[in-house]
This record gives sequence, C-alpha cells and structure tokens, in this order.
Amino acid sequence: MNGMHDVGGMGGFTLPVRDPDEPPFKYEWEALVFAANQAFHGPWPVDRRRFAIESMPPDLYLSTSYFGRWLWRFEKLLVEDGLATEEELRNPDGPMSPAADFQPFVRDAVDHTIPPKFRVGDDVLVKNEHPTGHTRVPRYVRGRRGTIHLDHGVYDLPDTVAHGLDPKPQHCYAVIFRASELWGARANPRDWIYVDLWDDYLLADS
Amino acid sequence: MTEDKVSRREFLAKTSLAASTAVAAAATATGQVGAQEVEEYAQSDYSVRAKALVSVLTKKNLIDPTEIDEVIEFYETRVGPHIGARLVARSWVDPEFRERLLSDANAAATELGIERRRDLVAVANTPQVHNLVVCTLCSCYPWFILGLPPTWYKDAPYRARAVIDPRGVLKEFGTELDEGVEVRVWDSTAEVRYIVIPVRPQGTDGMTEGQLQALVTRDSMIGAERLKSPV
Repeated sequence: MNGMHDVGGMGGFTLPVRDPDEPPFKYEWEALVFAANQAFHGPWPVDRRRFAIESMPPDLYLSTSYFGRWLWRFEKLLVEDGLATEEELRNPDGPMSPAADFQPFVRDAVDHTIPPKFRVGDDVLVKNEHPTGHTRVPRYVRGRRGTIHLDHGVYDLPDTVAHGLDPKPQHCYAVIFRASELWGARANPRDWIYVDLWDDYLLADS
Repeated sequence: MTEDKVSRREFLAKTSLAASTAVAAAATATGQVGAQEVEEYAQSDYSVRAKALVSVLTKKNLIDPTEIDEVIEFYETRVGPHIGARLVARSWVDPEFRERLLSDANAAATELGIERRRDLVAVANTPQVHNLVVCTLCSCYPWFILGLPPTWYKDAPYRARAVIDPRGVLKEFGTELDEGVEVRVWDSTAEVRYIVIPVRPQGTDGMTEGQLQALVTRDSMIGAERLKSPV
C-alpha cells in the first residue's frame, strides 16, 4: 500500500548525528520487544509483519520510534489473530483466555529451477501499480526504466506471502536506474540507484 | 545495556504504572511539560506495554521466557560489525579472496566460517566508486555480519534522502566525495543483504589482518563513511 513507510525521495527530514558507540538497544523495553519478536515462533511471515507496520496511520508512524512500531505491530497482530485481547494486553495481571490455535509460519524451500523472465542486461519498465496490500516496489521506481544488473535467484513474492496466498516463487533482480530517470534534472549524472525487484513487478522495455 | 539477567527479571517484575499514559496525555494537553518530559512519559508507556506483552505471551505459553534472555545476549554480545570486518580485512590482504567475495559473497562468508542467515552481496568501494546501502521501505540490514542497525539507518531521514541525495547525506555525515566519483546506492528492498567493502586506508601496509580488522567501522561497511588513515 502507499503507506508512510515508503519514504524514498521525500524532503523535509533532518539527518541525525551518527553515534559510533550506540548500543543495540537504547532502553530495556526495546530489548524486550525485539527479543519477544524473535522468541515467538508465530504464524506470521515477515511480509505480514511488514504490512502491519505499513498499515500504521502516517502521523502515528512518524511519531513512533522504531521499536515502538514493532510493539504496536505485535499487539495488533496478536489481537487480529485471536492470540490475545486488548484487555489482556492492558491488564496482564487479569484473567487470560487461551490463545487461538495456530500453525507457526515456516517458509517452504523454493524451486531454484524456475526460469527467469529476464537476463542480465535486459532493459525493463517497472509496472506502475499501486496495490492496497503489501508490496516491495517503492513508489519512486514505479513507471521508471532500468536495466537488469544482477539475478539474485528465486524467492517467494512478498505481495502474496504477506496475505497468506500462493507464494508464487520467481526470480528477483538488482535493477539499476540512472538517478536522472528517477529524480529528473536535479540528479547527478554519476549517481546510480539499484533496487531489488521481482519478475512480477517488471515488464520488458523494448 | 549492562544489566544482567537478574536485573532484567526484576525489570519485568516491576508492576505496571498503568496510569502513565493518561498522565502523559493530560500533562501534554495542558502544556505543562517540556519535550524532555514528554519523551520520558512516552518511554514509560512503551515500557509498561512491553512488559505487558511479554507477560501475556509467557502466561499463554506462546514464548519461553528463557529465550528472551538468550536472544538479547546474542544480539548484545555475539553479533556485530567485528564479523563483517573479518570479510573486509581478508579481502584487503588476499586479492583472490576479494575476487571470490565480490563474485559470491555467500561462499566467501562460509569460507571464513561465518554463519550465514541471509543471502549476501558484497560491493567494493574504490577511489572512483562509492557505494551506499539503504532500505527505504523498512530497515533491511545484514544483521548476521553487522549486528543490529544503528538508529539513523532505521529512521525516516536517512531512508528518505539516501536515494535522492546520496552526496548530500555523505557530506552531512562527514565525507565529501570528489565530483568525479561515481555513487551507487543500493536500496535493500528484497531478501538479499548488502555489505560495502571500504577502501583500505593508506599507511596500513605493515599491519596484520587482526590490526586491519580493528580499523573497519560499522558505518564504513554501510558506505556512510570512508576509512581514514590511522597514521
């Protein structure tokens, strides 16, 4: 979806100062949220978890810290799938209902013999689609022309996996774009942008 | 974070300050608190909710609480940029390894005994080429060789600007590139993870591989800085 997460190319932000000694977790709660996320072998593929964050209202997304978004997502998915209730999360010392049954998500091995639609060096056009579900095509490359630079091999398609549909395994490529193709006259002619894109996102550009 | 496991359990055991959210909202609405206090209130709210989350997951047998400690210990002490630095330093002293690293980083990592949890691609900086890695959509990052990403990598400003103004980002980060240098920005939108192999700094000819590893910074392997000569 065209969510707040898709920030590539936006102006108006201020870069922070880099801290070379920053610890992995700034606060104890961040470590807890991160570790709970790793320790819960739940029913959600990574793309469903990403889609939950992409669905955050834009103002909430921007005003919530990184691990705060993880916490919001965890609560949301638990409630959506009947694994916990909002009341239980608000009052963990109160009565607990049993969690709904679920199957832990396991990624099936993909078939690496699936043929690619494109070869290195092929010119491609990124489809100009604006799906309401999950996708990994940033808005800034939609409808833009690039060239296949590297074939990464076969991976499941995030757009379907996120929603529990047929994973449609297919080739994913690093596609190279001239900066001017994406950003127009302001671009430096010596800048290049590489974006990893799946077969289904691309058309042959003849 | 320096707390040991006991203090982590104590932290979890401290009972809820459930009223903190309401207090924060009321105080902010009346303009009685400054930004610092708002931040503190927000942190106490996150803290209450995080503890509640772990408590609910534990009571419902959805997680094993000992795994919480193991995960935190792993990411705080075992993985980090020192692993990526081994790939970089080896590539500086062994030209054939460098070729293998750049053509098949997965095999090269395995060769050094690095546990590979993701598919990896290595891209090399030269005096004429500078690579920069970003994830504009979320925070994809090679955890297994660099540890968890820094906050600036995960937050919107870097993600927004790295693709449209990489030279401006680098300049603000302290690296001014010559106009003739080619810039390649890698937006990690899929399952592959990228590591930048920085240029070996001048004045390091007599150094051992171990000494070279110590020179390699996390940010140089993201492409956010170039390494300076140690002399």
